[in-house]
Amino acid sequence: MAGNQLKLYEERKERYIAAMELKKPDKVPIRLQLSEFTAKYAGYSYQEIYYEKEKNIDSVNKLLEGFDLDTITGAPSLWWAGLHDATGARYLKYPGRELDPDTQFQYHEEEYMKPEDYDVFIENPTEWILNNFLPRLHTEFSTPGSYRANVSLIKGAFGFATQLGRNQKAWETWAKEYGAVPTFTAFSKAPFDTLADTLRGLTGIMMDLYERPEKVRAALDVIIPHNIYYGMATSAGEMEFPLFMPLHRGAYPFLNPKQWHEFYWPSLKKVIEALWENGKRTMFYAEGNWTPYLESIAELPSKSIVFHVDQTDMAQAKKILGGKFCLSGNVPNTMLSFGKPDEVRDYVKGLIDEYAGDGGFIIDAAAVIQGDAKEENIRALIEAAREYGVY
Amino acid sequence: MTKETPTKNVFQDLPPGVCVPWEQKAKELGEITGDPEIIKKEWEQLETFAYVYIWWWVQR
Repeated sequence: MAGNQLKLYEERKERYIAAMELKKPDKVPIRLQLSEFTAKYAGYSYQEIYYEKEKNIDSVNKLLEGFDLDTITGAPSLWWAGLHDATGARYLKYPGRELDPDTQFQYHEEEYMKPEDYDVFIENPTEWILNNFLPRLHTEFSTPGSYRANVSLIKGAFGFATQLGRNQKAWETWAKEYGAVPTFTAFSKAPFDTLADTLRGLTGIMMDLYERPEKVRAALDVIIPHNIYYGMATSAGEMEFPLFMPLHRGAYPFLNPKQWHEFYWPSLKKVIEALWENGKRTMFYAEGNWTPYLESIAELPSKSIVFHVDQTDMAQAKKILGGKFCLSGNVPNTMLSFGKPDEVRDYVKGLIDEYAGDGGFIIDAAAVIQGDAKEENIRALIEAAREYGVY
Repeated sequence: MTKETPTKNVFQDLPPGVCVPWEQKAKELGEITGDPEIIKKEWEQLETFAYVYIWWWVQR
């Protein structure tokens, strides 16, 4: 790593970690979840970044050349489309295949796990996923043991390993050549989201809460240790940076508060506490509005999470969680897409004035930044954070 | 002498990180002439990879 870039890396890392530790760094850290915006800025179509790994990675190189960011989340495309073609993924539609080449990918939600699958899932989830869920989810796997299914299993595993290896190499380059610091280094989910996102889907889980609540509880109990393990396995021993946990169905009012307290929170709390006992902090990426649940979230161990504010009331979050957890957020994505740079500057100044004064604060957009964000607004966000965010 | 690999899963309650437990595999391998810990360590490394790959399809 060249001297200047190493120094930059260390400065940014120290700034980021200090905020998560509730200290006052030299400046308020800037952590933007720049997803498809990165492709647009780099001049690549969505088809190119979803399908071509090198363009996906190169878009981040271009981003890092153009913007002063303390941490980055990595390449914009999470799921290599070629790998999903190789397995025949039914649930993802990609630009350039079924969709217009410059349209964002789409997720096609279904009840891929049926109500009658609960007992087998609870008995042995890993085996059930491989033998039942994957064939249902993928056209190429649909006849286990067939030539096509065997080939697709080989391609899927090889593609998975290839992508991991290529991303690891890219991170080394981003750190060495641009002083880029990772926002997070691991992944896991709330057990309820594991069950409700890809397995049962929103319609399925909502019916289950009324028709088979005991099965939901049993499934959540089974998922807890798997989500703890998955988080630690994907950490691969890295403990300085947080684990990314995008939180979906726990936002108000997907569930009513009674359901949230009964089904969502107990299993999520256990996962986060176990990760923290193992030395891993969670980036609690609270998508939507979590205001009604702040008092419960405050029960978590101090510093065990970074609470990200999307539509949660920031003033309430500061009042209830401030001094216990680092907060991050929340420049509205609509403002970044449809607002003016002056509005963005004023909003950032307001956030820093109101919430960053005693440290423990990270500037970010409210949600993941898509391709419709205006470049001048992203620049205004960064410039304002640098101008007003000096301690 | 290595026994035939069972085509059907013969174990339940697989803990996280495990697809085919080493204890089961060790029985199937029979006598191990060298250091079993070396073989176990390498087996379990690939177990973790397979496990994370299987769950990766769900954890999104």
